[in-house]
Amino acid sequence: MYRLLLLSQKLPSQLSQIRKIYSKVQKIRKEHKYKNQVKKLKKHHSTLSRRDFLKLLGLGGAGLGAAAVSAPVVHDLDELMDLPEAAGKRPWFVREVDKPTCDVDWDIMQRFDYSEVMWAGGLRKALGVEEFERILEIGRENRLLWMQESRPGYTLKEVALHGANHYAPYSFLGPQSSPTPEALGIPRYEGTPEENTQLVRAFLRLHGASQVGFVELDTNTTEKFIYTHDYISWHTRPFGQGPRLDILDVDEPSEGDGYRVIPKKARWVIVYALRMSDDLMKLAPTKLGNRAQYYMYELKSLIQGQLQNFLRTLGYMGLGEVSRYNALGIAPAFAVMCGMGELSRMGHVITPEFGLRQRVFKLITDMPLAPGKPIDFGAMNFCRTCKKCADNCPPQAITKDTEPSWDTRGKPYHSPGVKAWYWPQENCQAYWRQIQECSICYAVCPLSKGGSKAIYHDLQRWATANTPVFNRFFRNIDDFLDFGRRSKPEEIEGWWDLDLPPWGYVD
Amino acid sequence: MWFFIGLIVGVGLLALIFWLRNKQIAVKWYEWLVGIFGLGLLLFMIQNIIGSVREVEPVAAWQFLWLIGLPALILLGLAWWLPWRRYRKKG
Repeated sequence: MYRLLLLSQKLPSQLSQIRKIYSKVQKIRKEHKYKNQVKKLKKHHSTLSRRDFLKLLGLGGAGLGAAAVSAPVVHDLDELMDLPEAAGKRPWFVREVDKPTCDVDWDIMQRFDYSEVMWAGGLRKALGVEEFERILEIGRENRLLWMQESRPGYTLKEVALHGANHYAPYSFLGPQSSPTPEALGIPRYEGTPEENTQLVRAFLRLHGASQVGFVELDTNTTEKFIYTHDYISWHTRPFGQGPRLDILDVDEPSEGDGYRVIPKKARWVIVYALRMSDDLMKLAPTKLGNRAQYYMYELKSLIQGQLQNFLRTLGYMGLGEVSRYNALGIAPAFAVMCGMGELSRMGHVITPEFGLRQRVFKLITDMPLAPGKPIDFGAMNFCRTCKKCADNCPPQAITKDTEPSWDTRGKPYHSPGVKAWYWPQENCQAYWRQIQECSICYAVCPLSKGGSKAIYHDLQRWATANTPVFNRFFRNIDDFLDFGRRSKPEEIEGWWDLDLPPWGYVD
Repeated sequence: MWFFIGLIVGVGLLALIFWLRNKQIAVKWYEWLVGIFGLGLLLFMIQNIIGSVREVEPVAAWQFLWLIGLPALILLGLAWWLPWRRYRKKG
């Protein structure tokens, strides 16, 4: 009787103990499940797709929008770095090399003025102001006419899709809306370059970057990729030069009327790529194809500010591009040096994962980072043989020369010092301006197979990476299988009926 | 889906081996090789067709059907026909 009484007195406390143990077990099970998922993904994926990542975060259904992607599930920076995408693994057929696959003569190369770029003042200089304005007028007339006659890809709904663009504010010094370590009363984050690299990569992948790379600035080499004068809009009239980009031995970055100062201690460039939708890109040149590119610029405007705020709170500077599109330095050059991809026939970077179908952006920081090494996956060799972009270029702008050359053809918009396929870019730009958009080369490239569900693409990539012998065969088979551009009216209009995954990524 | 394809292939191969034993049909090593290669091509074709459809590449899917499917069927037919012809002669 006494024992029974004693037991009944103890019962509530024992029950609460059992409850506590049960909740602990549940917590451990949850953590174990999460770790298992991470392990599984580490094991099976050399690179992590957005959908896998969202699945991991339990956001698969929510999927759309950067806000959803940035929902934090990781609890601290260590967990962020432990995520599979922080490792930055490349496909198995990619080899790291000491020098880029395109030859570079650092003695010839000099810093370059952005205002010479074809997208800035290049076309105006090449054609003369009068012809330039005439081309723009043709473009305006075409846009109106094609919309009025409901030309596929230029109807009101496509114009509306294109017009949906919306940008976040972007600046050289960043939004500066996050607290600094000083404001928080704690020392700044200190890690090894490798740890910092993982940290930034994980952050960027979490916010939508498909690839991330790092370049260390060296006065005699990579620093020459930084423009002497920064971005200036081609709309500017009269056209001049953008602000000077001075690299000075100062502690803090600054900007003023006609200049921007990059402190010499900011020695690292974060290079990140945003992948474009494959099925939209295939519809180039239309307003749909155009949207595949411009959406990435919008996303970049958001991500750049987020990254600048992230670095600021860690205690470092992040110097961004003051442009929706391209600024600070030569994007393909940085992308090649950090090992994101190889130089292509068109002068853009071609990556093993998505070919040409990504946009590359960069940001300068003083956070020490471990630079990447250039890679070789046979792309330049493939470009030597393939020439599909050149064959499909309506204004015949892309050269069909087999071998790249040092000769810039006397064009001021080419930055010398790289053995590349230099081509008359004014032909491209004049055509682009008249039809409002192009990017056919992006659509037809046989190495641009982002959503590669068919094993055939892996077979092609493996063969291309190992031997140039089959390159001609793969170019021909690419034509035969009808991969690439979609130009029939029903294919263009049919895009709206495709039930595509978020962001239009097929994989 | 690949689980079921694997299951069907596994059960099919097992049934084939039992049937060959039952009928006492001898299959030479190179006939097995031709058959396995044909089966590999058939599976390669199926994967590429499904992959191409998911990539929204219908023309590629059809081209894969005959470009890889035809040699696959020829090889599988050959792997079947060679031992069957010997068995008929013997019988």
